[in-house]
Amino acid sequence: MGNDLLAKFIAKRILATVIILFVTSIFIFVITNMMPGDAIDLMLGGLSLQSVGQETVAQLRAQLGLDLPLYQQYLHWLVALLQGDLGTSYIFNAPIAPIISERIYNSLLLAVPAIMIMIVVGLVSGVVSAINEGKKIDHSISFLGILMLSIPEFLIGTVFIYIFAVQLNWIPAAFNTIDTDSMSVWQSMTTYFKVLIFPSLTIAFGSIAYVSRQTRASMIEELKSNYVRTALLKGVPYKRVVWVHALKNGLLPTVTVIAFNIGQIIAGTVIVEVVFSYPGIGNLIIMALNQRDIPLILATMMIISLIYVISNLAADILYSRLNPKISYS
Amino acid sequence: MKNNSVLMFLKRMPNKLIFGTVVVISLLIISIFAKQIAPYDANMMYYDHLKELPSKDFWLGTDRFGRDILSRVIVGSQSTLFIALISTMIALFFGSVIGVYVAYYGGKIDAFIMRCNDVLMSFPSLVFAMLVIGILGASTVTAIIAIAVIYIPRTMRVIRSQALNIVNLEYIDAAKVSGESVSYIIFKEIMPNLWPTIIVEGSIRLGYAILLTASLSYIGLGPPPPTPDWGLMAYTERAYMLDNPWPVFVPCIAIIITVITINIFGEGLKDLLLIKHSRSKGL
Repeated sequence: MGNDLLAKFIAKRILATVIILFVTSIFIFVITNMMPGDAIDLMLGGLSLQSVGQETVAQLRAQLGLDLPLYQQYLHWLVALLQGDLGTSYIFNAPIAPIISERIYNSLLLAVPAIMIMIVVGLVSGVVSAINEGKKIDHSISFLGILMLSIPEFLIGTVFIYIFAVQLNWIPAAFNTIDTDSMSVWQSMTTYFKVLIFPSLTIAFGSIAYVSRQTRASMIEELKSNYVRTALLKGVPYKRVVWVHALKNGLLPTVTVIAFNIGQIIAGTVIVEVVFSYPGIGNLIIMALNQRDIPLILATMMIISLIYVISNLAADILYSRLNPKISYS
Repeated sequence: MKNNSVLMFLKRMPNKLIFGTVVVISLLIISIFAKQIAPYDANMMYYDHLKELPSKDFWLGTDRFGRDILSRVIVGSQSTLFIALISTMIALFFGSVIGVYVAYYGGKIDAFIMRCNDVLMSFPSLVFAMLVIGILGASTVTAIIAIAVIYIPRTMRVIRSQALNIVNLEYIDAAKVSGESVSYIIFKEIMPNLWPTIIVEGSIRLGYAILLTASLSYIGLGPPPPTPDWGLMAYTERAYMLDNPWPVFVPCIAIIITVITINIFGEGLKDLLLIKHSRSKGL
């Protein structure tokens, strides 16, 4: 069980991930091109083909490379993608890369704090219910967990908007009016705590229960182990035993649950962006799909898939690093 | 004798399951007889009763077109439950058949199907559903297709891992040696042992499917208006929350109640059917 084996395992997993991403890119490309209507229809808007003239249309088609067979179109797209060129959006009539990076920044502004909230609240509630196993607090936390898993994100978001935007008027009802670009760091921090905390809380809501459940299960096991008893008998304070000794080992399975919940967070971000009319990547995907802007759909889907697959890879690697019992096969 | 065994069975049933079964059955009854139970026609607009708060005539108030919210929520259960139920059943069917086949054959087929699975699962489910619906166009049928396609690989993984424990047992070898056909072995020898897993998996999936259905119709990728649909109602009435929040919150509460009881029902089933088996967590 040397480091070689581990390195080999990681290399294998990375290779598998690259292959998955490659096949995924073919998959997205093919099904996106199955959409009825192409870029030309979109560019013509309401104009009829006759009024523009067949020649112009053919010329445009050639210019955009749409007259080539699908596999050649795919290769062109892939080569450009690998060079960091995401293409040109039809609806924005601008290169996609800067648009996407701005939107991703906005989405991360919601998602990263959501992940932190998920970890902190999930861990604390999990440990608290493990310490009080079978007692009222434990039951109420697990009931709250079921409740949180059963409430759609859009409802939480709507409740926040109803209370804080409609009734109290603390936050705007539509978040696309907030301009994060022109703010200083300090300003954006204060805006964050005043305003953006609500969508972040909404995103975290659904995932907290997973983390909490997993923490509870592993902590209950740890608290029954011999080293915890030894530490207690040696006179280490109970709180220290729980929060330092046991949690350190109990964290192991939780780390993977946290990493695997990134998908949940992405999905949550999409919905929450719709609820709060927030200009992030989720609203961009919906806009691209509604307008059938194929380059934009391809780019956004690839980015989401990339984030998702890489976070799963990270989960796998973390798990194998942390757990010496796993076999690298 | 027979009565006795029924009683024993009932005694073994966890409280969660009894509670869950009662509520799930009543939800099904409400949804099947929705048109008869609803006090008004769900799409009838009463122009002299716009945006009304709950009253004696309209128990849960009316929306901005003067439609009765109670009737819309009752009839709306059909659309949401229908999409979720049918897609879960399709996913369960294909997931378990493919899962058992690949577990039985193993080798290259298994490896190939599992890699396809990895590709299909390289998106968060909601984003994948958005892509499928974006291509096929939004409707009830495409919502069903999208949710089924998402859940087939996830169901398959769970069923396959359970089936792998069974295919290596001696009685399967015995069946092979005695010359039984593959389909006989799969459907008559392996499947019966997988029923508990399949049923529990189905009940867990159903809860997720309802949330996904509601979320999809909330972002406009479900059935089109004016169909009474929970997610869609919450979305279309959202802009008028200031005047009357009831049209938004009533369907949301209906979603929560449904998902909670299905989750409780699923937990109960798990306690009853799988209590001795340790089960890998299927996400």
